[in-house]
Amino acid sequence: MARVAIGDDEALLTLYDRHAARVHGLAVRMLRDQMTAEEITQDVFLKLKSRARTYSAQRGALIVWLLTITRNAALDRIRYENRRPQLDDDDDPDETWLRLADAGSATDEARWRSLAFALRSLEEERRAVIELAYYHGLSHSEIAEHLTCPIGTVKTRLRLGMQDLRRIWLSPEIDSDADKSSGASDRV
Amino acid sequence: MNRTDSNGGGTMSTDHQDLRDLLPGYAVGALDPDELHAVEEHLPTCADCRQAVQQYRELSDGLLLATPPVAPPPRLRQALKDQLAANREPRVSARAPARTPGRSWGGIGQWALGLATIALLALNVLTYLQLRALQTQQTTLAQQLNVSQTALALISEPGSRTVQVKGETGGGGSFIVGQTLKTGVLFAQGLAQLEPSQTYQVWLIDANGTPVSAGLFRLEPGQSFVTILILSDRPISDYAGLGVTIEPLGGVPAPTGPLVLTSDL
Repeated sequence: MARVAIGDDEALLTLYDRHAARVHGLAVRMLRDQMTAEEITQDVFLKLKSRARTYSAQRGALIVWLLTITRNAALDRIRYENRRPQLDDDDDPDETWLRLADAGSATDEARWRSLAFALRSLEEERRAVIELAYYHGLSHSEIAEHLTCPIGTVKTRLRLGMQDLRRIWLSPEIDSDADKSSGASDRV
Repeated sequence: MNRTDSNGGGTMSTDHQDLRDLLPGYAVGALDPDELHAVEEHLPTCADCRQAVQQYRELSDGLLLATPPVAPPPRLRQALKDQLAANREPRVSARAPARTPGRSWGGIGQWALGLATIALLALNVLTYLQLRALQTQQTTLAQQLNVSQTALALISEPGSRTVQVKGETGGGGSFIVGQTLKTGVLFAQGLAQLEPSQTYQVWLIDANGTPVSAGLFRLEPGQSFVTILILSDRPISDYAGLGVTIEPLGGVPAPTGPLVLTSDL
């Protein structure tokens, strides 16, 4: 990142090679539109260059910083274009990703896959409100309007869903493989 | 609102618990403005809630990574490389020509180049804004087309019918109902613009007189005519009536506000 901050474009392309698939994956997931996701992915790496001096490793992992920029850019686009939220369906690539052989169970990759699995295993109604809030940027009242249900119900589903997610993700049964090598300190 | 940290063994106040219940929503960015204000005012005073927020934030950061990676097409890397090169060019050209005394036309040329660049940038921004506006219009039109196509499909279904919708205080419309479908299309006109804290809520009323929520809608500024797709969990022809009330934003489980439209199905 220090090299990117002083204008080394080769260093930036190296980071692109390392992280572009994650950035693009999140953009595709949020926007459900390949072309717009490509625009967002390119913008994110241009922003990475212009903001490189503001990045501090002490405040978190680079990939989380990059994905936070990605999420904000995607939410801006969703709101600007007034896109209708689309929740996951049976054809979602998540399914394939979740079924992949867990050859890298000792890696962080397994850890994120276990979180995705935990999200998938939530009650449908609770999962929907988490996805509408986090991946589509809807507030409590907007989710209530979208799902045509009372706002109190939305708040309860979101709270219980997040509690369930934390409990499932951090439970020893799911977490044991990742803990063997990466340990809690690897959590982003 | 509880202003003190009551971790010292005291009983947590109801306000504290209410705010604590909002923390998962805070971590995923789902709070409405008033909720956000209340939580941000509370957090500096409560170590317990700050710790809970930290835990939920670890989870929300994890959600960023809990999506499958998707390799972008190779052309995107090339496009980025080209863009980076294009961004470098102005620096190189600015450094190259050294100013020579007595060559005032060179200075004028640079001014002209600068003005042309600014004009080009302004044109680009204008074009970009127009393109975005067109895309937004396109999205809206696509949604309207979807509703209109559904209405046409309903009309062409054997046994479908159109019932009159009466306005209680002016306005009115019609409701297209299929014989067996769980979908209907409501056309309404003459409805009033609502306060920002209000919404129109559609109700389907069963044979026992029990209302079931069937959707929310608001009018855009300047809009006097609205077409709403009504989705139900059973055939709409099973219901005895339709009503539209004015309710708080977000809707309510049972009607509380004034009835503005009614129809016997």
